[in-house]
Amino acid sequence: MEIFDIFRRSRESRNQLEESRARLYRVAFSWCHNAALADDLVQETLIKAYRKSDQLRDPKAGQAWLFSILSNCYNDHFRRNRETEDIDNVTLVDDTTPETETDQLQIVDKVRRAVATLSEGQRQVMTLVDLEGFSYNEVSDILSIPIGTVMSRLCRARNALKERLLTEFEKQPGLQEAILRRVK
Amino acid sequence: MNDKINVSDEMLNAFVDGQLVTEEKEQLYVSLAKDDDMKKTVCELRSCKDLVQMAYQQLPESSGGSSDGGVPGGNGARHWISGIAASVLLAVGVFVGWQLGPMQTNEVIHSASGMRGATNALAVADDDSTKVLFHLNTRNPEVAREALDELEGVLKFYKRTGQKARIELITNGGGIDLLRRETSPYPDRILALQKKYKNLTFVTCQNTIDRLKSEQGVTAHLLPGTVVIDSGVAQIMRRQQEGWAYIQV
Repeated sequence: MEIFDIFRRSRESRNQLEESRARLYRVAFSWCHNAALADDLVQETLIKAYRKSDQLRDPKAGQAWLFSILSNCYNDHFRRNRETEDIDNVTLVDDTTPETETDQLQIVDKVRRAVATLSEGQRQVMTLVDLEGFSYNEVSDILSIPIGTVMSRLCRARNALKERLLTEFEKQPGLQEAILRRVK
Repeated sequence: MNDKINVSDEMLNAFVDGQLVTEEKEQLYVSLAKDDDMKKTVCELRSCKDLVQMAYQQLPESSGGSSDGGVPGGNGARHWISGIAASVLLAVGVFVGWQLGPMQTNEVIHSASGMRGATNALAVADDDSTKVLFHLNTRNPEVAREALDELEGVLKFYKRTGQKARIELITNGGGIDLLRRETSPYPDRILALQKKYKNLTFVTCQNTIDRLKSEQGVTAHLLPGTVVIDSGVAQIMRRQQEGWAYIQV
């Protein structure tokens, strides 16, 4: 029975890792805004996670553990490539949102550009909270920073986005036309 | 405005992210009711969060992603564009709602004659009661439960302290599932809340009902007492013009 249990656990953990791929990719992309690099980071993360899966003591902490591996992979990548690629100068790559397609996609593009201009630390904290819904404590563990730093980075990130985005959208025409027509 | 309480931006962010304990939330609800600037800040923070979530709903396809892995590919483009459009309108609309000033305040009253059961609760808010608008746009039962917990906490607080309050839960998008007979995870609790608190209204969006019908062929049957309004976004903007505190769950 033990052998069967080992196989079952192994299969389950593999399935769980595979299910996490999309979430990891979303966050990796929001960090680097480069589809190919995000894909590489996720692959690297999953390989490391699979190899180290026996080190995970608390299954409930699995997601935070995975994202902490992603964070390490991300940091390692830019440490290796520091001389050739500055994180603050990564060009925004977006294969599926040509600027002319729709106004909505232009807004998506604007938001991504605004996120890309945040400092690396601010961007990581904000995307983990906003995209993955991690608690501040979990983000603190994932990025290995104090919770106070999580809060201050998040605060500065959102203030910067407010400055960049909301004042701009406020000026857009047509947004005041949505009026209530009927109540049943 | 003399009652303004200093609350740090970090605290407001924690409030928006659901990181505060119940007591802290209660205090903040009270502060929000008294401070228009704080309400505006919370609204802006929420809009930022919505915009970030919207901006990464659709991503360039991951080559290693599984076919159902949640990183949609090009085949669903029309679907996700409409999703993004709705999100953009909501996030931007919520913010712009602050900027519109007091206008268009009477349409609700004029057209509310056919409304069942919640006429008083949906009338224009021009009294001195505290008004809190909760917004739910996800079908996640856990989030829906949190929404009910939060609004019940607020209702209890105001009842306990003898203050007048009006609470409205508006649902759109996936949030409508909470108020559909077929899908609601907590129908009994909703009915019990409606019975217990006359100052509570459950509202949903006609646009969402129409979209369910056109995209999925589903006819929404709503729980008794649910008020249907043309556009959830318009209702949120209207409520904010009227001075309601806006809380997205």
